Order: sequence, then C-alpha cells, then structure tokens
Amino acid sequence: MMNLTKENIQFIDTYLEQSDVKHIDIRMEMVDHVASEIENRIDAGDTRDFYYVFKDYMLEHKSFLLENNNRFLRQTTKKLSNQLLKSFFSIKSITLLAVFTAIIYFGFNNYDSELMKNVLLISMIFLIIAPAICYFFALKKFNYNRFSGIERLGFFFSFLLQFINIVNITGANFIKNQNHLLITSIVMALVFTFILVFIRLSVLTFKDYKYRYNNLC
Amino acid sequence: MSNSKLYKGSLNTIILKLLNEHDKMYGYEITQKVKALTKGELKITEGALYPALHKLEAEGLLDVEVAKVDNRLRKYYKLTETGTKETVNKLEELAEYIKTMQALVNPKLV
Repeated sequence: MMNLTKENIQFIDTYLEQSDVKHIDIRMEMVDHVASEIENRIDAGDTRDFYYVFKDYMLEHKSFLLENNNRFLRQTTKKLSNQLLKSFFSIKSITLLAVFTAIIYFGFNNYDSELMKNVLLISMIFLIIAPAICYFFALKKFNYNRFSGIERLGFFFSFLLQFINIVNITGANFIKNQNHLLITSIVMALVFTFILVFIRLSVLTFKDYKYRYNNLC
Repeated sequence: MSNSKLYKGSLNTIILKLLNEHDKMYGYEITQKVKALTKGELKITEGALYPALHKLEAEGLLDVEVAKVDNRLRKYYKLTETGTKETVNKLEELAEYIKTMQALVNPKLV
C-alpha cells in the first residue's frame, strides 16, 4: 500500500486551508480523505505524479469538500446553541437565576443604587473577561490551531456582549425608578446566569476538544 | 450515491450498522467498505457521508478519536452507548420498512 509523503500531506493541507477550510478539526478529516483516495488511485495503477492525481481529484470533488466545510460549521453552531439552551433552562440555572434575583433585589433595597450599579458592572466585566482568558489559553494549548467549536463560541460571546451593552444603555434611567427594582433585578440576574452558563459551556467545550484532539497539543 | 433517493434515508442506519460491527472506522474506510459490501452498487460520496457522520456525532450517537496514521491525523468514529442502542432501533425500523415494501411490491414472497 502506497503512502503519501509528509510533503504531499502538507501540500493538501495548505491547499485546503487556502481554500477557506480554516478550522483544523474539519480540515484534518478532509486531508485524510483526499490523501486516502489519492493513495487508492495510485495503488489501482495511476502512474502519474501525485500533483496530477491530486488536481484531478480536486476538479471533481472540491465543491463537495467546501460544502462539507459549511455544513460542519452550521452543525457545530446548532450543537452549541442546543447545549447552551439546555443548560440555560436547566433546574440548576433557574435556581441560580432566583438566587441572583434575590441577592440583587436585596442589594438595591438596602444599598445605594449607584453603588449597586457599579458593583454589578465590575462583576459583569470580570465575568466576561474570563472566557476571553480561557480562549487565550486554549489557543496556546492547541498550538494556535483554530477549532470550529471554540471559534463558534465567539458568536455567542458577541451576542452576550451586545445584550449587556443594551442592558447598560437602556437600564441607566430605568434603574433610578424604585418601581422598576424587581424588573431590573431580574434582568441583571438573567445576564449573570447567562454569563455563568456561557463560561461553563466554554470550559466544557475546551475540555472536550482537548480530550478529542490531544494529538495536536 | 447511486439510486440516491432510495438510499438517502438509510444512510444513518448503514453507518451505525458498520460501526456496530467494527470497533472504530474513519470516513474513507466507511465509503470503501460500503462499496465492497455492495460490489460497487452503492457509492457513498463525501458530500453525503461527512454531514451524516457529523450529525450523528452532534446527536451524541458517535464519539470521535484522533490518531496519527501515515503522516497525517485520522479521525475515527465509534458508537457511544446511546449509539449502540439506537443502532438496534434503526435496524428494526429498516427491517420493518423492507418487510412493508416487500408486501407492497411483491406480495407473493411475504
């Protein structure tokens, strides 16, 4: 059985990377598939140089491979969304939401609202920095290889930041009204719960990738 | 895949069945195994196989293992506990379907 050389494999990998298959967890499978098919063709009697066999294969199958890349990304986003929603609507999270609401409501009733607002804002900033630090260490751990699931977390992270931004802008005047304290507390508690659920999902995703792709660490 | 419309609905069952018979398999190996078992009648394209594998993985029916083989990384798929149970269900469903079709298409044989 003929095996392609390291240089041949690197050539396929670079070609796919330049064709916009950026994530290594998707690309490695495509590289293996293309390499296996080329080896099979050469074993079956194709005497041409690797480059010509590769070119023929790509002419026939490139569109399939790129479509596969897009489908994989959609699948990853769907998987993460389901995990996030499942985790957010779990009994644990609902309990956490109730506890946060009670603590924040108690805080607004017993302390200066400006002080409370600052404490909440600093806590939020601290909590949203945590996933960014996680991402930095994950990148380092994986030798700066890009993984689809880890990068897709960024999509949810952007959503989280936008949500916090909206709460911050619209809530500034709303918070001053004593009649709105309960609603304000619930919204704040929702943000905190969502951040914690997101952090948990990020850590689980990192651990999952580390377990599966240990060869790349 | 030849006769794609007829086979499309059975692709997941085919994958699960193969993985049930082997400890672990990689994508290309699955395509070759199906081709060999069906004497070339059924050819699973990468455009159909990988989305199906990734969907089964996302549903928790398959687990993934990466190993370095022949100068490259290879992604192996294997059944999870849920996947093994689901394989039994899917095979029963398929057997029932074949029986029903047989009754419709060729009642004398039933």
